[in-house]
Amino acid sequence: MRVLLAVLDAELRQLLRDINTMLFSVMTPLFLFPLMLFLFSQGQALVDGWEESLRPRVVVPDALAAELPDNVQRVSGPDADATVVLDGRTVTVRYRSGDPVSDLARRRLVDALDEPWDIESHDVAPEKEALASVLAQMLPGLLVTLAVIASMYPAMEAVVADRERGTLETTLVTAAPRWAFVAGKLVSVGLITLLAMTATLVGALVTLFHLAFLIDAPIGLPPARLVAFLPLAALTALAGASISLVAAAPARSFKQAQNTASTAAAVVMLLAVLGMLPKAELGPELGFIPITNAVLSMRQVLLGNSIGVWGAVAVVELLVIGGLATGWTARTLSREELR
Amino acid sequence: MIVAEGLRKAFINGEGQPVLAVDGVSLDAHAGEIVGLLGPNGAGKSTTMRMLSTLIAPDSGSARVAGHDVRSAPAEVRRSIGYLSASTGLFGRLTPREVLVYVATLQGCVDAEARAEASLDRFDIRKFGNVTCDRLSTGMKQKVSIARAVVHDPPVLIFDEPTSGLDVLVAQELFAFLEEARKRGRCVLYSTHIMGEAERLCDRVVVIHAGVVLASGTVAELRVRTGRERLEEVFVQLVRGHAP
Repeated sequence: MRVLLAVLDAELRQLLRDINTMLFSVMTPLFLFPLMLFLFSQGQALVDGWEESLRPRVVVPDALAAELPDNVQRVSGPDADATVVLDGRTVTVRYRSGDPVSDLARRRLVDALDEPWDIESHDVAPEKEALASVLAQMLPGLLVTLAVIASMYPAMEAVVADRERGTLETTLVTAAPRWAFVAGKLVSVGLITLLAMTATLVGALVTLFHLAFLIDAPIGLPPARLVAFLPLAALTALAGASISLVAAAPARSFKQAQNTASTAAAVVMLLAVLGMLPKAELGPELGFIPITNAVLSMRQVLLGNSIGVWGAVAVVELLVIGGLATGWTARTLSREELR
Repeated sequence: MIVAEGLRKAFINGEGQPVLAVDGVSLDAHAGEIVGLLGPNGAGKSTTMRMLSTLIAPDSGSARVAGHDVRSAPAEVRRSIGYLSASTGLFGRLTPREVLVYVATLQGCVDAEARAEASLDRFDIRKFGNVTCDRLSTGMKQKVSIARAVVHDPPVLIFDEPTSGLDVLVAQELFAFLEEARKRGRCVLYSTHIMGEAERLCDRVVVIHAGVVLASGTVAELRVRTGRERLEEVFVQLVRGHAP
């Protein structure tokens, strides 16, 4: 165990001092979501111009009709963007946070209806329209994608660069048991991947809270769902890392490893994107496709739904893929012979 | 300390054909002795040393190092040797201190930190001890490599062309270290194709060419045998007299 910890310590030190690993495993996951928010805010000017051209339709009681601003349209049908309910001095604006036109109606009504009314906003968006729903659709796929990207460099560093630098010889000529050397490498790549996953989550949650603050909307993501999401996310990220490892392990050069690992990563990312599609559902059609079903299962967990039998299929597939890939990598490394 | 009998090793070349790199090499080396393995490039020196270091397995033949069989007790062999070759790399993003502690730990030393500190002093690399190896000069990296190879104070040293790429000053330090190791009873197997190194350092030499041992003995014995004075001439005569 002392030797395993020594290998792990040395591998982690080397990986964490590598600029590429830090860039792909920590910086990119951490700052991707904030960067997306920044770009989103830059695009706000365009949105503002678009909003100017809109005239949301609202249902308003007669007592308030005279106070309606010009930039909203009073209607009486059920397809209104927002509904105003008057109860004594309390005015409640019922809107859907996931619908930008409905939210625009809310903002204009709240700005226009002032004294003597007590204004309240009530989000009546169904679950799938809430902010958490957007997160549920985006986060799992992005998390898998970033985990695979994040694990590529550590995997190549751990198994190929060692050969090219001659440090494999340095390690193999010691009395350390081969299993400790192999396990140390695998665990270090796994830990870096989990670090990338954590950075992704931190970046996503910070962005989500900031966005919720900016648009004054509820997040709709109970902490319990996030806790339930973590084991599946970690398992998926580790399976992605094992795919990077098994793709890099047989390569004889860093360049060769880049080709094989990036091809494997592209396949995983494609499967992850498939699970991010709005119409994609966790069912018989996609339930057997590995990675895709894991992404869809994570979405269900974030929405507070049961993952059911297809979620169980996803978990089993992840375990099988991760186990086979890790086993094959360990076998390749264990048979390493220097010429 | 080192006894090899009939070691053979073939590799498959790029055309899928087997190429015999070492063909029945037998040699021995004892405690307090530096034995030189002399041969041109491609003679089979490195393959022989790698078999003795358990980095590759022999196809046939046997070898014992420090009393341990290279096939049945490879871990014990590795614990007993300090192996250094020109291709042995350093961990570029670790510092010399970290490298030494790491390797000493892998070699099973319970006092890894203390051994690392002693090695930093022994090889005069303390002032670079906390600089990552990538940032060291070539000579300094070689010093760290030598320190790395012997941090666990093994009884057997297997050095494969260790002066390759070394400047004169570092090479002199290496020679001084090996002479001191001999005095301390260490067994040294030292490969080179530089005759001057062999003449200066080695108590006995084993001349190897095309995977076959051509001759072995002290430099004086080989001079008598070939009738040549300079070791370079001795070597050329032995190699030319052998039809591969």
